This record gives sequence, structure tokens and C-alpha cells, in this order.
Amino acid sequence: MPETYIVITVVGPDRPGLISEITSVIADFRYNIEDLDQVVMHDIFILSLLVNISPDVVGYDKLRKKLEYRCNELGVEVTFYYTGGK
Amino acid sequence: MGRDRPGIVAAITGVLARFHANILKTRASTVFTNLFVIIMLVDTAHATIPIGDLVNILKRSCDGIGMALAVEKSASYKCGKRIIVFDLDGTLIDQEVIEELAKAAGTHEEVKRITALAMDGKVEFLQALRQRVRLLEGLPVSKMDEIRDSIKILPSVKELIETLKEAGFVIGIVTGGFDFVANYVCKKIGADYVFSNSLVVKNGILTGEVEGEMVGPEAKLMAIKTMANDLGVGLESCVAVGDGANDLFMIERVGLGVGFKAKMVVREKAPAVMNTDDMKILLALVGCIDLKDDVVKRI
Repeated sequence: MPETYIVITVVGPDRPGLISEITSVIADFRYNIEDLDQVVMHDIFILSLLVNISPDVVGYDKLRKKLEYRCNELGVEVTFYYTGGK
Repeated sequence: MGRDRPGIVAAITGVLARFHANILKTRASTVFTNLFVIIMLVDTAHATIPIGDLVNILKRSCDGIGMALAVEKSASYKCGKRIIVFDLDGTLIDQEVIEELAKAAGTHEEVKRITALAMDGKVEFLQALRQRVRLLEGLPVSKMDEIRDSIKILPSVKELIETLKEAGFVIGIVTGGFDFVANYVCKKIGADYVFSNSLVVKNGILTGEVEGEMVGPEAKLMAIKTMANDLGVGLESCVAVGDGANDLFMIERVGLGVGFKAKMVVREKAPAVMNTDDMKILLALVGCIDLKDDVVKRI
């Protein structure tokens, strides 16, 4: 079966704890992060994640809602890109 | 770095967040098909606890999820590593050779007791070495040949050394153990340098003495300095890998010191720790992965 991936990007003002907050939501859903890239550019936090959602493709909508809610609380913007296969 | 599974990033960054360490840059990816590597540049200027404490908490968290950890100053990380030295007994080979000798000499119990104390750092290494070698007095040289022939080099060591050589590393063995095994292993794996102790033999039997200057904790570091001088590089370009208390002196003073399936006293103080003998993890720890180049460019 082909693996299914989403790319999540998060952008917002930098502060300690953002990666931890965001990745723990993903960990709670038991999805695996296979690639991660993050920089702080002029105090702006930029994070991109490649997440394998194959184990539970249907549950992805729940993750998306949860992350949108959490990122709203954290004051950062989140976008989702559904890649299908990698 | 370690076996990939969900939750690794959350666990590690959670520790940094708790103590207000700010992650400036991160690269994480899967390497060697099933290993997850995450490299972070962390600003600890506003951390709420001293760096040493933070590192210890990180070590415990990593250990809890089966991950190896290396902590390096960014300047040291950026400079390419050129030299790697390995302890012998317990690191490249599975045996403590002195105990094998003691078995043949019929003094195993006593020697084993002293070895354990020395490796845990409870007895000064050179003193413990002298005591143990004295207990080998009268052992015929033929027994040494038998023991050498029974030496088992850890699986994947040869492959590791080959990969390190391809990456341009100069390889050394620095051991408080003995030349008749160290030279053999050096030849087998193709190491470039070997520093070890020599047992005095008279009329085909051991006299219970060690020849000349002994290789203790400080001499291990001196050996690395010799290699670094030969190559014209500084200690920050050197990696030291070991498991016992006698390795700690070098581990704490080189660019990257790695506690390899180490005794507790080493685990607590080594800036890098790995508790598996998966040598691919060691390769990743010392930066033999493309991901490192990627990160260094951006630091």
C-alpha cells in the first residue's frame, strides 16, 4: 500500500515551546514525523513537517481540526498540504 | 538519534520548552532507512536551569525512548571531525582481556573485583592495573596467544571503521589494556594508531609487571594530542569513544566525547551517550551523515 503524507507548515512569532506544543498534538494521534525543518528568521518561527498519516488516513481530519485550534491558541498560522504519496 | 517511532520530537522538544531553551534551527529526517535523526541549534541564554542540568535531563529523556544524544557547542560542531579514537575492552571488543588472562592464571575472582571497581571509577586506574597485573605473575606466554585468538571484535566494527575512513577519519585505539590484543585488533580493523600497555615477559612467563610508562586516563588524552599534532588539528576535531571511568578524562576534553554503552559515571558526564552497539548511530553522532552538512551550512 502506498504511504500517505501531509506537509504541515507553521509560521508565527518565535518563542520557546512551539515545536513541543505542535509535535505533541501529532504524537497524541500516533502519527510519525518523517522529516522536519525549522528556522527562526528575524524572530519569526517557521516550521515544516512531513507527517506520515498512513496508519489512520481517516483520522487526519481530527488531527487537522485539533492542530488548527491549538495553533490559534498559540497565535501562529498553520497550513496543510495533502500530498497523497510522497 | 535512534529507532524511528511517533513521539520522539515531542518528547525531546518538550524538555527544552519546559526550561525555556529556544530552538533556533532544526533539521530532522530518517537516515539509514529506520533511524530518526534530529539536529537542533539551541539558544540556552534564557534557560531557567544551568546547561549541565538541562543536558542531564535530556539524556534521561533520550535514554527513556531509546535515543542516543550528543551535545556540542556550535563552533565545535561546525568544525569537521578528523580523528576518532576508541577504547578497546568493552568498546571494540566484548571481553575484558585482563579477566581472560586472570582466568588462565587462576586469579579471576580477585581481578574481576578490581576491574569492576576501576571501570566504575572507584579505584584509581593505574593502581588497579598494577594490582591486577601482579596477580598474573607466572602465566606462560602461550596463554596470551590463546586469548588473542579468542578475541571477538564487535559485529559491524569493521564496517564502521571502513565508513569512517572513507569519510576521511584517522582512527586510533587507546587502551589501558595490552599490546598483544590491541595490535592484533588494530591490524584486523585497519586502525592507524594504537596506544596500549605492555606486559613484561621473562623466560616465556609474565613477571607481573607492566613495561615503561603506563597508559592511564591522562595518557589516553596525550595519545589523542599526539595524533592531533601529527595531523595539524586541534582537540575540537577529535572524537573519543569509551565506556569506562578511565575514558572519562579524554571524553570530557575532546571535541566530542562519546560514552558507548558506558558505566554510570561516564554516562552522567559524557557530552554524548549511546546505549546500543548499533554503529550506525555512532556514525550519525559523529556527523557522518548528509544531514549534518545541511545543518552546518545554515548555522
